[in-house]
Amino acid sequence: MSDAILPRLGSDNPDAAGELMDRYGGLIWSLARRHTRTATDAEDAVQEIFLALWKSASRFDPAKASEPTFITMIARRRLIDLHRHRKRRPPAEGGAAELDTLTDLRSGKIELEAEAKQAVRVVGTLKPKEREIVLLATYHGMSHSEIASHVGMPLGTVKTYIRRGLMLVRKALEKPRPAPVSGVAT
Amino acid sequence: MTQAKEERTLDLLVARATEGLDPTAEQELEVLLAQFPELDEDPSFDLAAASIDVAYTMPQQPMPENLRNLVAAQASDFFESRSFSTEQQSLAVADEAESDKGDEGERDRINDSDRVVSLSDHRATATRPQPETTLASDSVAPDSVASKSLDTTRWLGWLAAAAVLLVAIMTRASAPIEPDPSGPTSTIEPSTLVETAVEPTPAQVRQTMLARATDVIQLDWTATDDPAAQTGSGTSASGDVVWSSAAQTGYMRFSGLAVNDPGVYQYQLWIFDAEQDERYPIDGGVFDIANDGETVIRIDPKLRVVSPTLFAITVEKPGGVVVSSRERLPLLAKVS
Repeated sequence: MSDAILPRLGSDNPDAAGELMDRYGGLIWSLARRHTRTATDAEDAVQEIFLALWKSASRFDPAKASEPTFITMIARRRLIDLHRHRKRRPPAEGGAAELDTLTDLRSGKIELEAEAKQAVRVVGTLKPKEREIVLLATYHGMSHSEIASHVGMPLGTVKTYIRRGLMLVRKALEKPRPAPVSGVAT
Repeated sequence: MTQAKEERTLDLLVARATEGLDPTAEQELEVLLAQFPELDEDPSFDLAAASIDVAYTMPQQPMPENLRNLVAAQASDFFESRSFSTEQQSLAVADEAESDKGDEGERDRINDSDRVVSLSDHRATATRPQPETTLASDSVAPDSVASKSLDTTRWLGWLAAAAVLLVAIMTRASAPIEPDPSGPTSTIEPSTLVETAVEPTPAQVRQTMLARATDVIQLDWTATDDPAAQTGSGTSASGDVVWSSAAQTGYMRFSGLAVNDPGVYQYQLWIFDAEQDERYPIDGGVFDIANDGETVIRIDPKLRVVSPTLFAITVEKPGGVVVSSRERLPLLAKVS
């Protein structure tokens, strides 16, 4: 997405914080709602996520990730930390099957970035059980042991599927390395 | 890096990106990453997990307005304090006073937990001095500060306000809704009413919803053979569920559902939606039945409910579950 907001955040640009909420408030609220048990927990989480975003905005590098993905990464870290701190499991609603089409994704307010499309494409190539497990671990926020119990598979197999799925997505998202500076080579 | 160490590091990075690490595992990863600093800042697994999450997240639920206002005020506060901190540093440098404290360090001294305000802390938010925000796109006017305290009603504030007004009208404005009953009620803003008036009960809001919501559905519970739904006197638990997809909330009414000990088991609502995989119905919240009388519970779905097909109550362990085994299903309400 063009016109990234994070680099413009600061006291000299007070509008940027509002723009950040306008553009990503729904995403962050939806993530918090899905990864926490109660609305109160989600409200607390949203405040902490925005605080983390304001602090880490300078770390955003568009060459490494799109803005929505970077924001989601920061949000997930906070949500995982909060969850572990509170020792409570987040809910896991919403099915995986209905999310398999890009039609639904386009209905969101945020334009689906190329890397998100790549992620969907890669996840779509996984075997059904692997796809289910990867989505339970990422989208649904279940722990590995909970997934093992839910799908009735050994914990080791679940971990292998998750790692394999993430490695495939990671590989698909790899940015091409900059070409060597000309004239340096022998 | 030995093969075993590399494998272990990758396992921990994947775990960190998905379920997080316990302190022991965190320490272990720290030790491993210390040996290989090039991996320390590698966020690739986190980015992979985030890219999946963001791709499958449909941001159809807007952030509640009261929360947005609160975050906007905090943003103003945060950037003002950072600006102040930077100015102080400049002065310090100019005076050749203290050594550079660093902008990041200065900010980190601010206690993060002090910044997070629970919207359920009604009195705290109502009395806390509110900084003026300079967000041009959606300025927070002083009048709207009161909306930050619409905690217990959350985004149902308008509905609660309507319920309060309804109660006020029904009691000819003579009921002690206002701290000063002699005051001119006609000049009281709804938001002020919510803040100062007696909170409407769930039963009152349910009644208002039934009277005013245009898309409301009302379904009777059907009791099963589950002991929780059998009263022992030959009758079964009864009641109904009222739901509005436009408001994204509703109310459940119960009579005769067994009183539960929250330390032993709790009830949990599941909402099946035509748009959802039925293996993963939407969690509608955990609740308790505290007495034998009629109980009204507000529905608080975790995800947007588009087209509900079935409401089901299950009996679960304390705190509820992520995915129900559906072994005990005392009540059902099917949308015809």
